[in-house]
Amino acid sequence: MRNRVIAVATCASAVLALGACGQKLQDAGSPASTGAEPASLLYWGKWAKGTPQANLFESVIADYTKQTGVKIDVQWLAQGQEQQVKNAVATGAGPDFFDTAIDHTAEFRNAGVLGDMGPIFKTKIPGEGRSIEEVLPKSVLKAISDDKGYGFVPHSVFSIGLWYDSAKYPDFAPRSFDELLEIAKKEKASGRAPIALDGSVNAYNSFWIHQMLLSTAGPGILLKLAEDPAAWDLPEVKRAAEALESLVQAELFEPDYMATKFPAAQNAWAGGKHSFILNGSWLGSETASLRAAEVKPRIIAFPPVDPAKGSVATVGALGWGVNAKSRNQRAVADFLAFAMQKKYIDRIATDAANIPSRADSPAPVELQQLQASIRDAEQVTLDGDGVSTVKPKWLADVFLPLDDKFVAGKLTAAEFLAEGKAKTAALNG
Amino acid sequence: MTVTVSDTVPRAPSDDRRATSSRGALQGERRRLYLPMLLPALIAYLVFFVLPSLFGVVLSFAEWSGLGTELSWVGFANYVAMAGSELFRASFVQTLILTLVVGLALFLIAGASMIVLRTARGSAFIRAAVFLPFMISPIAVGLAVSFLFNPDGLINAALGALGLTELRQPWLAPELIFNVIMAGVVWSAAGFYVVLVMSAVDGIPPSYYEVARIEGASELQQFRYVTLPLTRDMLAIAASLWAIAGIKTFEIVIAFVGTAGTPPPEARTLAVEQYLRVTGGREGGLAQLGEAAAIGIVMTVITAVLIVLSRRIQRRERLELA
Repeated sequence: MRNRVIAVATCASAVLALGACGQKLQDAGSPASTGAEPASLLYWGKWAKGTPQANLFESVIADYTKQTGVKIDVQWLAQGQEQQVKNAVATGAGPDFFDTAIDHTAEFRNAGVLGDMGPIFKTKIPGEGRSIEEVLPKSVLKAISDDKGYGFVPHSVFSIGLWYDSAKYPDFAPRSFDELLEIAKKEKASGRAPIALDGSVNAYNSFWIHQMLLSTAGPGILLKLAEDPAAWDLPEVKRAAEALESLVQAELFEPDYMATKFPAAQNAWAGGKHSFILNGSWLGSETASLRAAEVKPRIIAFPPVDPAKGSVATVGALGWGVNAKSRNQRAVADFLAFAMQKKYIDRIATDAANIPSRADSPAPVELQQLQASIRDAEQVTLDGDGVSTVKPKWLADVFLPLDDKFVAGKLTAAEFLAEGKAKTAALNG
Repeated sequence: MTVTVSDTVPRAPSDDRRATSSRGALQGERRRLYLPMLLPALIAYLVFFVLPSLFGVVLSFAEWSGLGTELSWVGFANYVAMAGSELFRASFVQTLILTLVVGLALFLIAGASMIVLRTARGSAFIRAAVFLPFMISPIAVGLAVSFLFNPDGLINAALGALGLTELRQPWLAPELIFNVIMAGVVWSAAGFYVVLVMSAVDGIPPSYYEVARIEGASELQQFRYVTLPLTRDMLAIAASLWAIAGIKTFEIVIAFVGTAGTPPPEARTLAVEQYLRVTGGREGGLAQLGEAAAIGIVMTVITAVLIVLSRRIQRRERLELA
């Protein structure tokens, strides 16, 4: 009798468990397998509810639902969203599409989340007669691709550049790093600390050497340094290191810059205490509320150490990835094409103060010079050459600690190069 | 207390047998109930503690990046990699330094409070005030730090105002930040340990101190010969709790350095190093869960060793209040 009860209970549990799984999978969209339009799509966003991007995407979703009748169930998951997407997709569930960024493509690829995005990029945007692929600049398309194709549909673009105050420098356009150095030295001579730097953020410190390396050695140089100790001996690498050394030795950064508590330095820059800061295109909107009335921030591509070399733009992007296991690929493509209409992507600039991904959507005025640099760049690369996803251990254990010491002035250029070579060799075995 | 006759009159042998037999039946019944009553707790313990712990041990011999990725066995490679990593060694040494230095500071503060607070006026208020930092979230601590220790923050401003400009320091620079973090941990944790040991001091009968005073014992001698022996057990518990907390020090480091960057090697503890392995470190931006598990094993072993050591140091014949 007892065995029979146990058997019945086990069967009931199994049925309930399977039923629950079935329900979960159905949430991620099942009707497309029958060829019918799905009643709803599931979208996992990373934005916090109430942020400009979340508000914008909610209004796009509302318009889409009104027009097509397809509901989009959006869940704003904020921090940790990437891990939740990977875990859910690994267990056969997860959203139909989700927020992602350029630096997450590799991990989503490795976790089997991303599939072939090609057909989605060929989808025509309603009322425009052009596909998603056709409205994006080539530099952006290149940046969002890996060896398996496009990683996601980008709505926003970001980059690294030199922020300055156009109220103070209306004609600021240094053609080279040396010219920038001279301008900064003059400002220091007048008693101001010209450059703000939150040196406690090692990624911000690394912007300096990376931007200099890009102009001397070209895109992908950080990857070379990570993979080949001999790359540390290249004359182009030495030239960039010596350029940074000259900046550090000229003491142009704010006092005690290695001890600032983030975001003290960028706030001080926004308040007009310093004229320059090397940072992302997001900094303008990030510090807008703290900006002094007289400051008119603008951002330009970092002046090249070697102006004779071609221009290289650092390109990052935010956008929508599509779950390779979603059975609603066509419906997701339809929605993404709808969302990529110019009228919506323009609002990335007006509502969220970021650079829109489309070539024909203007950026906010402070970002327009940088947007032109991205559009016209001869070569593009990812932030940090994408080394954070390809060689994260080298980045965290070798490069960033060493770069911190170099930026802090504790190492000369020669010591930086020698230690970098030795530690890379030791790590690579 | 009333002593009844039935308590003193010996029972007849037959009564004893009956009692023994009924006790035996009761114990048998109890034994039959043990398993069903214990089973839910055992299952919960097994599922939520033992199995995950064992999985952690197993994982330390593997390379794995979580669900959806392949698990491969690497033997002792994670441990060998740790031993060869300059950053791991630095975080290991810093964790030990933090645990020992802060532990000593906490012991001294707790000792001083046992002498002073026992008789001080407003003792309850002081205890509450000292306990307050323990209740503050690390995020708030981080914000406070930005005001206090920034190069143009309150500390340097105060030193400047006092004419002590030569003492102004870049407190959050890599070479100083670990000292500031240790000071922050002392500030944050002292209240908890003071309250803990004072609860034991409060249990000591005042008459002991009266006798000591009549015998001419100073405050320090009263502490040495009355307070310390009678609070030894609580001190041992406090030491064990600190060993566990010290080795796991994590959020206050993040609060001090902020979340915008990776904590500098000079500020990393083992838990921070483990966090960095979990949040990505393997090619492809995937977590290094194997290495993170190996660090976890090392942390557990150190904690166990420190607890055993603290118990051994404190081990004396148990004294009990009469």
